Amino acid sequence: MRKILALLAVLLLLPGLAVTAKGTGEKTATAKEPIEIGMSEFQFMGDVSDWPDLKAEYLKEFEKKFGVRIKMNLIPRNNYMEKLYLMISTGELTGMIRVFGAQDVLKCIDDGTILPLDEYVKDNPVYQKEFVGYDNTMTSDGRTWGLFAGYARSGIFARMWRKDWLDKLGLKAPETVEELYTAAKLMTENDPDGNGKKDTVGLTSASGTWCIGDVFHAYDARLNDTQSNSITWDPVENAWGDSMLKPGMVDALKMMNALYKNGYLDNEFFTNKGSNMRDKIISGKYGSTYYWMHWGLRDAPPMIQKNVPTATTTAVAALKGTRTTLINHIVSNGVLHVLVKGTKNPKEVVNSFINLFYDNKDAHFWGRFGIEGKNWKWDGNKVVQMKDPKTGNLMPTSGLIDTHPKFGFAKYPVVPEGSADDQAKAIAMQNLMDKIMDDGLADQSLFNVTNLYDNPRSPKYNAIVADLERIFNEVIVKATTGELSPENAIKYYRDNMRKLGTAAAIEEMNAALGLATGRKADTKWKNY
Amino acid sequence: MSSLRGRRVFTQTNITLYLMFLPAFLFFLIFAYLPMPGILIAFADYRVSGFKKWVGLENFRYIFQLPFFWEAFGNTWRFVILRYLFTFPAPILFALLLNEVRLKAFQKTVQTVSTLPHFISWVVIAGIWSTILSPNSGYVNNVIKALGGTPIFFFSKPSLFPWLFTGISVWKEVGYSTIIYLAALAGINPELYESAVIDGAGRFKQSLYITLPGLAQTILVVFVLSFSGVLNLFEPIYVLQNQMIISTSEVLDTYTYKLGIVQAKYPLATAVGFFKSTIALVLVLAANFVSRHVTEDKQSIL
Repeated sequence: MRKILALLAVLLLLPGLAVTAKGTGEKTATAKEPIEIGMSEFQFMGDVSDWPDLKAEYLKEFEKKFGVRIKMNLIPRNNYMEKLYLMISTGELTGMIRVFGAQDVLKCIDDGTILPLDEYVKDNPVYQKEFVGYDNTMTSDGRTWGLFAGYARSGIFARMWRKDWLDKLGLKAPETVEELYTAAKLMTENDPDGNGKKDTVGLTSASGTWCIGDVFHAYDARLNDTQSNSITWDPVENAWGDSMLKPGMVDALKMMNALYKNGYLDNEFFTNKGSNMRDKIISGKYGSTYYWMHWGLRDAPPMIQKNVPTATTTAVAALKGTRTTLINHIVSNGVLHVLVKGTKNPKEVVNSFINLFYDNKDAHFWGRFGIEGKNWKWDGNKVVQMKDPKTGNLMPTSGLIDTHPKFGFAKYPVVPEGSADDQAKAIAMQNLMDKIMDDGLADQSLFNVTNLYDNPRSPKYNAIVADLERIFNEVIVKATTGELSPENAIKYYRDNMRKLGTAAAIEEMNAALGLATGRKADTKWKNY
Repeated sequence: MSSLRGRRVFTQTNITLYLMFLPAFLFFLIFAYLPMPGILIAFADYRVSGFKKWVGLENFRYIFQLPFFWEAFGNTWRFVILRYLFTFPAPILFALLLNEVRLKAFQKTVQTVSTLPHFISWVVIAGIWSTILSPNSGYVNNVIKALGGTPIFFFSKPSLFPWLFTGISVWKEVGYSTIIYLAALAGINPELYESAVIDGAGRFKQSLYITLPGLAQTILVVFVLSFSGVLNLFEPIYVLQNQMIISTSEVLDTYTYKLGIVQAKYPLATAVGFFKSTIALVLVLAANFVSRHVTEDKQSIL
């Protein structure tokens, strides 16, 4: 009998304790609650599990300083969007959440999970100036659904090269696809690191075409914004179309095959993750990749120099080939914030978000960099990113928002903590990157892609995109490895696109933008 | 039921047992049975924002006409067949071999070492084997290069992947799965072996006529129970998969994940899950039915 009573007591007490524990966390104070803005992030002070104490301190100090409570939902970068959708579907997530692009916003609109912002922000002068003034909103069906996190010309992929290897081989930075081939060949065969071994490779990439898209752009066979398939808006055609159908795609696939079969392209280019690709460049054994320009020019060199002290890098923004103008794109807008349905006091939340981060200088930099005095500090008008005293590395950033012209580099340069020389170099590097982009825009090798054109707006496309990218990747693999000739690989692609109904999706994309059909009557275009 | 008449269900002894059983019962009730109505999502237009309308079998019709669904279905069955040809019998053979080892210390060492991979997660195993088989720096290719051969990019060959996966699965699970068969072998009467020796039976005939029949019941139970999760392949395939081998590595689970979870099309994911569970249920019931005719006492396993 005693055993029975003891077991019963244990079984009843446990759930009771759980309920009580939830209850004791609630405040009993009757003071006015601060505004709470729910947010979601994947790189808030590093990865999800990094710097937990610093994250907690930031949220506490932010509330103390600005009277706004941020309810932070941390989601790992891998599979971020699918976890976001799951959390929204369970009602766990409300507030101003971050999504990657316009396609995600369209899905949220279709699912009915976000609110249009127009009614809430129409009387907000900060919104009118900082968002409408810069065309920094995402609209659909005449309504505003998303706010871009920043407005800056930081989104450019460029072909990064080991400059010390180029110098040793007597080459200038390749500007054409033929020069790229020559450089890749010599970097693989001519022992650029001088160690007497054949252990270097010219080019590396990740996830297939993600980090080698410039070869396709050069042959007028543009890939999409993220190099994940060939359905893209072309500024020359001023329409959405499928570059796989262009004659240049055959040449691009032939070049890929030549690079691969001769060993000038890393044979793990399809199995590399981004981290593998970066690690290979940092190892000092690979000569080039096509990746974020700021990584190649600014972030990578110090890391490579830990293995190769004399390593230097250079970058080429647009590789020329049969296409010589409007080759590569600069994405002016960053990721988006949307307002989740079910958010309490939505008008208050969205206007607090806008006024705080885009009108209040201190809050803006707290939103970008972290705790003032711990992650960053002022030095006159310079924002100095501080270093971790234990490791000497730069402190992680809060990254809630991106840069914006009102608080941009021109007025408030961002420099690392260190000597005046280090800071001058950082400013010079930013100016160099700006110059590369300015020169590219001036000679028309680069073009700006606004949010209107870098993501398709088509439910039909959304329905087929998974299978479409699967087929695209199969074609790239088979043509690059030589399993299929480029012509047969493209035929395989066309047969499958017909089954998926891709033509109708492209028509829908063009119709959404009021553009002419992507198919023209001349020989450059053939239907599937 | 007639045997229960007149018997008290809740005696002092029984209540203690029921209370001990209660947490496990509640666990399965809450996490396995209460969510079951979620299967209805397969018959609805259910978005991230919630239920929209009933659509009957439309989700199933949509899934079945997708070009890569049947490829994934076929690949899944390929892995299942390879599993029953190699991964299932491997621990039996291994147990038989281990049982013949007379040096106990060696037997225990081999058993322990072979069991260890079972406790390593598939994520780590994928990293280990990707490194070992890397075309540029992997140990296997370093040996091939040293012998004058051309390095092989193992994880780029679609035809090779099913065999690679099967081999890695055998390596991972053979040691742990052997435990149950070794326990069954320990239960075989040693006098049977003594009689066999007297009758002139060698090692092989002893294995054939005493050991295997002694293991038969255990093999049958494991065989029938293995059907319940036979089509579940997500984790190991997902971590080893890449675009170069997608044509032979895409299985129902990974295809459903990309289609149904990544794109938040939950009705499609639920429909495929329901389809898979139906097949698994049919297989388990069929195997159980067959077991009735195979067991000595003509009783089914379940």
